[in-house]
Amino acid sequence: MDSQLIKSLIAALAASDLAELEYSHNGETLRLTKRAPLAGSGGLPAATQPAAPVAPPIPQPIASPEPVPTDGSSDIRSPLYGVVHLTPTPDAPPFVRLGDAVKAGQTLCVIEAMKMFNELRADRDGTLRAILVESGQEIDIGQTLFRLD
Amino acid sequence: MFDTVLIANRGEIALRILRACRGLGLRTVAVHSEADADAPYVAQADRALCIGPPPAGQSYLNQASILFAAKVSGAQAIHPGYGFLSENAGFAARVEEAGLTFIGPSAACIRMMGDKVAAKHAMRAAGVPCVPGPDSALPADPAAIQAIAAEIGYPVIIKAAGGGGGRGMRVVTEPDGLLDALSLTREEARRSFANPEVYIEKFLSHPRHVEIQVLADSHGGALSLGSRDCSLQRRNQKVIEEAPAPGIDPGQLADLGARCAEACRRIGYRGVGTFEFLYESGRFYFIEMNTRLQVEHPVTEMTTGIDIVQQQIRVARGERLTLTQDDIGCTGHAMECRINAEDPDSFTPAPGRIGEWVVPGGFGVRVDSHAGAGYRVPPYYDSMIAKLIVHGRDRADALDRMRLALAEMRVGGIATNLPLHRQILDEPGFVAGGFDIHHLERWLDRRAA
Repeated sequence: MDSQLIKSLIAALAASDLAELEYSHNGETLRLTKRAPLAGSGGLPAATQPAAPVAPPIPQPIASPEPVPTDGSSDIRSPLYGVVHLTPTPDAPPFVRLGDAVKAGQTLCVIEAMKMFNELRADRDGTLRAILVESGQEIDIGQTLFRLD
Repeated sequence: MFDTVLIANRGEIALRILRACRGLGLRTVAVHSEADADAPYVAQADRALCIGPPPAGQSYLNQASILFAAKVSGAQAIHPGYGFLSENAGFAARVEEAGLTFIGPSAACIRMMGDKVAAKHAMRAAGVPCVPGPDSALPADPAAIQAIAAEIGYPVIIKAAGGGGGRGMRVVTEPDGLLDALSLTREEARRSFANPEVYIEKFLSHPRHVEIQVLADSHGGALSLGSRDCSLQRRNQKVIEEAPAPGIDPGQLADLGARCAEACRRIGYRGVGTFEFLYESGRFYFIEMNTRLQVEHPVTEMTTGIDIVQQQIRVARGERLTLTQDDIGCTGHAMECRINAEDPDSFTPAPGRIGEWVVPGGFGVRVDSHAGAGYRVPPYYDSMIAKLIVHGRDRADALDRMRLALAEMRVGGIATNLPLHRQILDEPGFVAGGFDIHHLERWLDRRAA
């Protein structure tokens, strides 16, 4: 994981409403958590607080309605705030369909942000078990888009 | 004569136009997409109407929706801003057909300048210096094309007549590559611009980008408001602009300005516009005309003391220019940094909610922006969130003022290119001035190495 990527993840987390962000790639995992402002301190402006990467000693439970998959499946989350496109062009067939066997590095969708189109690729081989967004939908950073078995 | 203006744009330029209208006592109608419904500037208009979903194709580019909004709101004029429909001749024609005023030149002028071959022909006829090469589309015969290229001398550049803004062009360094490049550019032009016509010009290897701002009324009056240098670019996107263009003889710039004003009179141009030139080895070469207000117009406002947007609206109302060329001065030096929501190193766009928002101020400092603390930069449109403009008594003074302003400005919650601007303002080549259009990319390459 290069420092450029880590920096952009920190910026992305800082820009979002999320409390934490986990990113896995090629077996490496980076977890970023936002420190809550100290109660009654008068508070630094939120933006000046360092969104420092913190590696917690023990895995913390994720306060999410979705349980952490324990069956070997994995969530594929959006690395940025943008608009998701499930097809390369409006009339073309989708990049992937439910039940498809997906190869690591295969494009799953394109995320549009400010006229730039960023391909989101699978980080491992697997079977596409869920597509949780619709094409053209606005998605938040960290939002789960796909689930791979 | 209109008294209500519909602003067919968004962001900082929508607010800029709104302020100009207010200054002239005109009512305003803001049209917006669903994504901009809560933007503070929308609420400032006398009336606001939603024209469609977030994607620009369904809102800010939706001609029928905008015309309908004009009808229901009683607006008699439409200001297109920049981008979106501002250089769409078909839209300008539809506005006029609906009995409304398009705040800009006639559809015929937009169409002519949109066709780069026709534009070059008209400019050459008006005595505006152009890049060496014929002002006609290339013939079909390969031998004839080879002969034209040989006469111009390599390297040459093949451009799509329907292109512009850096799109649809290909550089050829030797005769062997000419015909392949030609067919590629033709195919690209056919697909991207629905016009397969291509033309050929001498390729200039280290030019500066210098432009002339013009203002013309519908009674044959036309003025040059002076020069700007927009050579600091990345991927054909301007990053910092300044006025006047430094290090060029003012007499030569005045002569160029006079030729541009004369060209406006000849083609019956109305409104504001920009003649873009490449400048290399002491000579100017016309490349294209932008038939609209430009992002960087404030630097010229600072050096001339003229509210360009108010003037644009006045001439659209049919008023005669009350200024003469002798009234147009150039005082001091102005500079504009485009503040974008993007990573300063990777240039990845960074939409999202703005936290802290501290804008600089003081003597000679101006910030044009629609954003603020708590504003959510939407992911659908371009990434510019503010223009930071300074005016100084000379270029060195303007540089000092810009450094202070950049140090004062803070935007939290999202990544911005503020750190990049701070670095550029200390870069010796930039500080010296007079660099070519590849300067920033060369510097970025060195920085990355």
